[in-house]
Amino acid sequence: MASLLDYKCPNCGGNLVFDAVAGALVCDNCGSRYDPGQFQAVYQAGRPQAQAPAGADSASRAEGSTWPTGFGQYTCPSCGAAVVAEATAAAGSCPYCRSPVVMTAQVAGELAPDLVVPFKTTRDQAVEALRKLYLNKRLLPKVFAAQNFVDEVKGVYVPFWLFDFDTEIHERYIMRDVSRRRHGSTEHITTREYAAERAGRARFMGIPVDGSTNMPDPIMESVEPFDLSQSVLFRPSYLSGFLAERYDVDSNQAHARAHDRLTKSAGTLFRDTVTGHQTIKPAGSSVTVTKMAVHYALLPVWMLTTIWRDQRFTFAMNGQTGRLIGDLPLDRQAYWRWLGLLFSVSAVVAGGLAALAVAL
Amino acid sequence: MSGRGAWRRLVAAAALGLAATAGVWGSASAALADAARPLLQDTAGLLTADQASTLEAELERVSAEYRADVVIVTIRALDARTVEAYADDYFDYGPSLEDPALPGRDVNDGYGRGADRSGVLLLVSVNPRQAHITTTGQAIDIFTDARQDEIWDAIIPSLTNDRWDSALRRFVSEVDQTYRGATRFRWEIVALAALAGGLLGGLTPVTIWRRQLKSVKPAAHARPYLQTASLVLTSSNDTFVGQSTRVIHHNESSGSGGGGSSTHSGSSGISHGGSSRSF
Repeated sequence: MASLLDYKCPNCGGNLVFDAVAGALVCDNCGSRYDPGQFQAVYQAGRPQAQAPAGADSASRAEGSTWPTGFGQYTCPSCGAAVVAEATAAAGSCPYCRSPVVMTAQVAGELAPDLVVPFKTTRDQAVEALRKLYLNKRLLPKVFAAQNFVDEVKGVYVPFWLFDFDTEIHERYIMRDVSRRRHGSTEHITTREYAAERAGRARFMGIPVDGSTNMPDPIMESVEPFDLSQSVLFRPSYLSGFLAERYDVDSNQAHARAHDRLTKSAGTLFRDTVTGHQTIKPAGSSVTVTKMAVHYALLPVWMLTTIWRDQRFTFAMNGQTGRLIGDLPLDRQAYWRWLGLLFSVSAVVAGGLAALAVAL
Repeated sequence: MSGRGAWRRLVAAAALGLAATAGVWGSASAALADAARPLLQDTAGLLTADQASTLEAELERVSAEYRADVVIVTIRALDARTVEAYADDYFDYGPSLEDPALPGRDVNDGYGRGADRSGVLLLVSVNPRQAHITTTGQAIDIFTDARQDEIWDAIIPSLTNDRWDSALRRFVSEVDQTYRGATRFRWEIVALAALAGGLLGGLTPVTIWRRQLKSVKPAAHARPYLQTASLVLTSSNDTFVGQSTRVIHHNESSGSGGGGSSTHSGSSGISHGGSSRSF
């Protein structure tokens, strides 16, 4: 039996969900508020029937035959229904009684996140942000914006690997000065070339790499950055009322992407220290990592999906900063219509002016 | 709603542009139609009446076609002025005041069409036997030094042999050809400008609008995660690699070669091109 927690209000027994605006667990029945950090202890003491996470991992492994690549089964602690969930799911809700469920085995032991950035934005804000994304887009199909709003909005805690690097950076530059001297009809153009080497130390903190294969990497990188100074130590209760995934890309696999981004960050870090030349061009760089640390974090993302003409459109909003991204469809007819119209008008104006210039 | 408003604005802007273009065109043509001075001034009496009227008709036709005054002046004798100064003054002040010493000289009586007073004038003096072509305004650029040499080559033999009618008719036909050659590329330039303007004015906005639809792109680097306070420079080394010198020999003769037109200013201050020959 997987270890599950459905957070019940100690006051009235209603469902407790994490409220992004209040930054607290709020009872959906009586409105009582609980601090997620302290709630754990209170909850564990008040409800001894909540299962302890110890040994839960092996139990759930034995239960789901295709785990960890397929699906796992659990019994809803609220209504007792047998529920099938994706093996990587760490939080969700019971499809029968809608009670929020946190699968603590998915966030315990090896799988326990170090940090969590709690949601700061609400579902309504995500929907509103998507509505605003549709505004003032001349080439967005009108029917897309009008008929097809949003099919599904999910608040997901996405597993991320956060990489800290202490580095030694080596950068090279080439500088050129050109001087011209003229004696009578002879001109001497002298080019002096210089080379500069700069070495130094730099620290990068919290380069995020998406740890879930369910989440498209380009979309996850587009909702960056997250302000990690607002992250808190992980408590499972933050997940209540949201969906959560556990990582299925391990930190070794993720490291390559973080290192790739790190390497591309160097090259012009010390550019300001190269002075006194007409042209200064970067001429290569190298990065040596002297110290590395990895943290496992759950970061908040609103995933919005809509299907239009059999095509799925995915939007993502940074659950902390509210930054919303997502590619929209192109109205090809409008594209060609506008191009034709603007081309014709510009051509007539430019041609008319040219004709005037030629004639006068 | 906003889309329809934008359409309307665009159409209005296009109409305005067209109207402005047509308006400028119309007023320009009106300004060009005011020349009424005779284009042939045969004061030396080198032509018969028939020859003169035929030549004048040709001058009228060419002048009207290319919107420039094409003028031929013949004189018995030259005064104290050079043939160049005489021709320039004739073009600038018109036939009524040939002597620059006379008071009341007015450049408004002169030749030339449009704001730049475009035109070309051939002066033939019988004593001394000299001739001068003066060009003004747009004609300066059309009648390059090289082109003038060709015109002289075509008419000097006839002038030398006193075949005046033949020489002057040949001059008009050379002017006609020169203008036709100079204006032959006009519609290509217009078409090219229209194409370039259309592409620029058409592609720029739709490309911007198209880009607005895309917001997913992988991160290129990790700069936002650099702790700027942690950036420490530990070594810095600048070295001189080497130098190279290129020597360019400039051609001192600044003559305008085949493509240019040399210019000077007459007593009126109006800029002229031109050249003289003795025959």
